[in-house]
Amino acid sequence: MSSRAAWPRISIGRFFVFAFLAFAVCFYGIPLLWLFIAGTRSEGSLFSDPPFTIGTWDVFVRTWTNLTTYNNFQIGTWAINSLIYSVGGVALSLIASIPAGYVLALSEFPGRKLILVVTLIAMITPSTAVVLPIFLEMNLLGLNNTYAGLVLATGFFPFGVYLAYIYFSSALPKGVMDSARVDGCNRFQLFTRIALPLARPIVALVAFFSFLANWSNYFLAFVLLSDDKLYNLPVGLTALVSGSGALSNLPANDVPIKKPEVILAAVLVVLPVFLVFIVAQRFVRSGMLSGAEKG
Amino acid sequence: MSYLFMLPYLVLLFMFGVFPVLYAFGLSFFDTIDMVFWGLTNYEFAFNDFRVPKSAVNVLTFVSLWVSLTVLGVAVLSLMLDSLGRRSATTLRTIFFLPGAVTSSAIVVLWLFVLDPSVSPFQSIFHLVGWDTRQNVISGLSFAGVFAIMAYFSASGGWIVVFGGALSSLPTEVMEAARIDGANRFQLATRIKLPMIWRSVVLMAILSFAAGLQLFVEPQLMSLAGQQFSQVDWSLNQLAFQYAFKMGDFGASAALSTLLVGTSIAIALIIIFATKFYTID
Amino acid sequence: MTSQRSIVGKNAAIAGGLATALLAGAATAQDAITLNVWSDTPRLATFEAYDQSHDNVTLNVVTVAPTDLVAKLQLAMQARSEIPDVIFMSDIGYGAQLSTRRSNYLMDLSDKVPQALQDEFYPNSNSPCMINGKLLCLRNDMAHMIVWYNKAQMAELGKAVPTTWEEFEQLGAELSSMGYSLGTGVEPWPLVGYLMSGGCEIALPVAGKDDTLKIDLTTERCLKPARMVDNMLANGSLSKFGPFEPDFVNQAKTGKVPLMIGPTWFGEYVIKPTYEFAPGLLAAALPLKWADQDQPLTWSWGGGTYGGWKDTAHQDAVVDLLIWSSSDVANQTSAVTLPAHEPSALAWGEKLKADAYYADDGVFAAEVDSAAYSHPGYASLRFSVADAVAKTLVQEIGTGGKIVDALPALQEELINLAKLNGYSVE
Repeated sequence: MSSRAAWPRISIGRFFVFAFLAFAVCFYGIPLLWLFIAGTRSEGSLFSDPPFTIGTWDVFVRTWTNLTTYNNFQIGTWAINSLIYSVGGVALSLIASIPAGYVLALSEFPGRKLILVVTLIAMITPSTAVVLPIFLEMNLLGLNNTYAGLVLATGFFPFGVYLAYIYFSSALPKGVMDSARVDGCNRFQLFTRIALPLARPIVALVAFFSFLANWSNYFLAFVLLSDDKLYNLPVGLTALVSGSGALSNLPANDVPIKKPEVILAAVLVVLPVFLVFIVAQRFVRSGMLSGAEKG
Repeated sequence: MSYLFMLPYLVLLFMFGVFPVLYAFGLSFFDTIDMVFWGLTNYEFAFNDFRVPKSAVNVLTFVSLWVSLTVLGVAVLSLMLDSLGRRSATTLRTIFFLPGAVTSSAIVVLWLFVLDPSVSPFQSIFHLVGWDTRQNVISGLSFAGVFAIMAYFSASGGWIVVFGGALSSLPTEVMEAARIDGANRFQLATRIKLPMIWRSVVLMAILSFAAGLQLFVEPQLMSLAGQQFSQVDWSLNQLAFQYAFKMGDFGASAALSTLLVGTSIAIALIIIFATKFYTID
Repeated sequence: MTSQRSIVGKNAAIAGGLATALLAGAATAQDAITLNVWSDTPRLATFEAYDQSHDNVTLNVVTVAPTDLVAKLQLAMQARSEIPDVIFMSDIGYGAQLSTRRSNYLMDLSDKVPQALQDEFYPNSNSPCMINGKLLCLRNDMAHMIVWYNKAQMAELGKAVPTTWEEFEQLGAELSSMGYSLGTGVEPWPLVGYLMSGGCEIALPVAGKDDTLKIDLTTERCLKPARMVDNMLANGSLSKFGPFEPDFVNQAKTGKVPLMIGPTWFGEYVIKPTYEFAPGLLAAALPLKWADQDQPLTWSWGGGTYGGWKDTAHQDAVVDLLIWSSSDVANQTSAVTLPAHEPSALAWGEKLKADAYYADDGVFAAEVDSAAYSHPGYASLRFSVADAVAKTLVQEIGTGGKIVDALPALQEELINLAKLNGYSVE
C-alpha cells in the first residue's frame, strides 16, 4: 500500500502491464485449456455441459479406442510418417540453409544479391501458385508418393536461410574470424571449427521453425501424397474428418470418428510441438535475430 | 568455394523456388488444356470474375486489421514480457506460442466451439454483448475480424518468441545508462528498446502483409463448420485455388496468383526502400 | 478433341506408357484387369465385394476424402498419370464439374447402360447424372426430403401430421408458443428445399438446351415459400440454428422438435445418433405440398454417384463395375443409405421395416413412395447453389433480415455464378 502511494505513476503502469498480460494469457490460454480438457468429453457433453466440464475416464478410453482402432491404427502410421518427414525435412533444411546463410553473410561473390532477393520472393509466394509446378516436377522425377519427394520439397526453407544470414552477418565477432584466418584455417575449417559452434542458437532456431513448418505441413503434403499409407498427420486427419463427417455431419456413414475423436487427435498433434518447443527454447532464446539489432 | 557452400540450397532454391514461380508465371499466358499461348486471356478472365473486386476488398480489410493487430499486439506484449523476470516471461511466452502449434483440422474444431456462444469458453462475454448464435458472433465481429483474430491467435506467438530473443540480446550497457539517467520502465521500453528493434517490427509487418494477402486457410475452413457458414470465395487466394482445383484451369489460377505475388513483392520493396530498412548488401 | 495428344514433349514418356497400356489391354483382354478406384470410406465395402466376386478384375482402391476428390483428380489429369478408372462422387455437383472442357473426366454412359436398366432407377433419381442430355454417372443413393416426426409426441400434443405447407406453417405457429420448433431455417439445402417446393426456379437446367439455366426468383412460386420461412423464423417455429449446431441438437434431444423436414438419411444418421430419439418414437410421412398443387415437389439433400473415366483402357470393365456398384441387389441391400435403384431399394428396405427403432413400419414406405415426387431439377451444376444461399439468405437471416428481401441478391449472385461458369441464363 505504502509503495503504491509513494510511486503512483509506476504502480499504475505496472498494474496496466499485469492487466494486459492477464488478458493476453486468457486470450491465448483459455482456448488451449478448453481443447485439452475437451479431449476427455463425450460429444453429448461437449454440446450440453458447461465449457470446462471435465470428462470421464471411460469416455476418454472409448474415444482413444475409436481413434486408434480406426483402420488398424492408421493414425499410428501417419504419426510415424510425420516423424520421418519432419526429421528428414529439418535435417535437409539445416544442411541447406546454415552454410548458405553463412556464405551469404560473410563473403562477396557474383549473384549474391540476386540470391538474397529471390530468397525473399520465395518467402512470400503463396503455395497455391507453386504446388502445381512442384507436383508436375516431382511427377517427372518419379518422386510423387515417396518419402524422399516430400522431404526434398520441405527441405527448401528460405526463412531459415534468411534467419541464418541475419545471424551470421552481425552476430559473429569479426575479430575471431580474422584471427582464425590468419592462423591458417581454410574456409571449410573456418566454418566447421569457428562459425558452427558459435551458431548453436541459430541452428536451434532454424531447426525449430523448420520442424514446426514440417510437422504441420498440409498443402504440399496433400498435393504430393495420394497414397493414404504415406499421409502425414495433418493430411491424414483432415481426410479422416472430412470422410467421417465428424464436423459437418455429412456424409451419412457409420465411421466412429466424431468430434471427441477429432479433438483428441488434435491434442496428440500439438503435444510433440509443445515438447520440442520447451526443449528448443533454452537454445533458441539467446539466438533470436540477436545480431541484427546490434548491427 | 562460396558456391560449394551454397550448392544444396541453390539446388533446392531452383527446384522449389525459381522453377515453380517461373513455370507458374509462364502458365498464366497459356490455355492449360490445349497448351495454346493465349496472351492475357487468363488475366482477362480473372479481371472479369465478378467475385474478384469483392474478394480484393475483403482481403484488404483483413490485412489492415491483421497487420495492425500483429504489430501492436506483438510489440506491446514483447516489451511487457521483457520487463518481467526471466522465468515468468518464459512461461508466458510458451503460453503465447502454443496456439501456433494447433493447425489444420484441430484449428477448425477449436474455432467451431470457440465461436459458438452456447458452448464457447468465452460464452459469458458473448452473452454480455448479446450474441446468442454463432451467426451473431460472426456478423458481430465481421468475417474479416474473425479471420484476423484466428490468424493472430496462431501466428503472433512465434513472433513474440523471435522478439523475446531480440530484446534479451540488446546491449546491457545502453539499458544501464538509460536507467541511471532516470528513465522509468515505460520510457525504457518506448524510447530505448522500441527504436532498437524497429527493423524486426518492419520485417514482421512486411511478412505479415505478404502472408495476409494470401489468406486462404481461415475462410476455407469455415465450410467445415457447416454449409451455412461456407465462404469459399471470400479471399483472392481461394479464388485462385478454385480456378485450379475446382475448375481445372491452372492458367487462370496462375494469372491471379501472379497478380497476388506481384502485389506482395511490389509493396514489400516499397516498404524496404522507403524505410531504408534493410540494405541487402 | 486432340488435347490428349497435343501435350508437349515432356509428357511423351507418360503418353508412351499409356499407349503401352492400351496395347497390353487389347492383346490380353482375357487376362486379369486392374482398375484404379477412388472411393470414400462408406463405399469401400462395395468395391471390396466386387473385387472378391469378380476373378477377372482386380480393384486397386484408394480412399479419397470426399471434399478432396475434384482437386486430386485435377492434379492427376494435369500429370496424366494415376488417373482412376472409377470414382465415387459424394457431391452431386461433381458430375458437372468433371465434364467441362477444362476438366473432362467423365465417360458418357448414355448408350452403355441399357435403357431397361436405366428404367429400374427411381424416376428423376438419375437427374444429377443427366448433363446436357447425356448420362454421365449412375446414382448410388437417394436423399429427397420427407417429413420426420415423433409419433408419440405428436399424439400427445394432439396434433395431426401436416400434409400441406399451409398446415405446416399453422402447426408451427401453434407449437412455437410452447417452445417447440419444426426444424432449421438457416441450413442452405433445407432452405432451398422450402423454396423449391413451390416450383421456384433457382438455377434449373432448361430441357433441350445445353448449358442453359432458368433463374427467376421473382415469381410468387418463390415468394410464397420465402414468406412462410420468414414468418416461421420470426415466431421461432423454424430454428435460427443449423441442424448440427449445439443449440439445435440440445433442443432436439430434449424433445423440443416434434417434427422436421429432412432428407431420407436423417432418420438413421442424424435423428437416431445425434438427436438421440428414444426407440419407438420416430416415424416418417410423405413430403408436403402446397394447397394449390396436385402433388408434392420435393428437393433433395445429398446422394452420391458413380462415374468412370472416359479414356480408360478397360471401358467394358469400368461400365460393368459402375452398373454393379449402383444396382447389384445383393450388394445394395447392405448399403448405408437408400439405393436409387428400385429393386435394390426394395430389398434394402426389409431391414428398415423390421427395425424396432422406428415407431411403425411405414418409414420405408414414406421414403420410397415419395421418390416419385422428387424434383426433376435436382441437377448437377458447376457452381454451388448452397454456397450462394449461405452468402446471401443465411447472412441476411443472421443480421435479422428477411429472406424475401434477400432473394434479389441471391438471384444476382446465381446469375453471375452461372455466367462465370459458362451457362446461358434465361
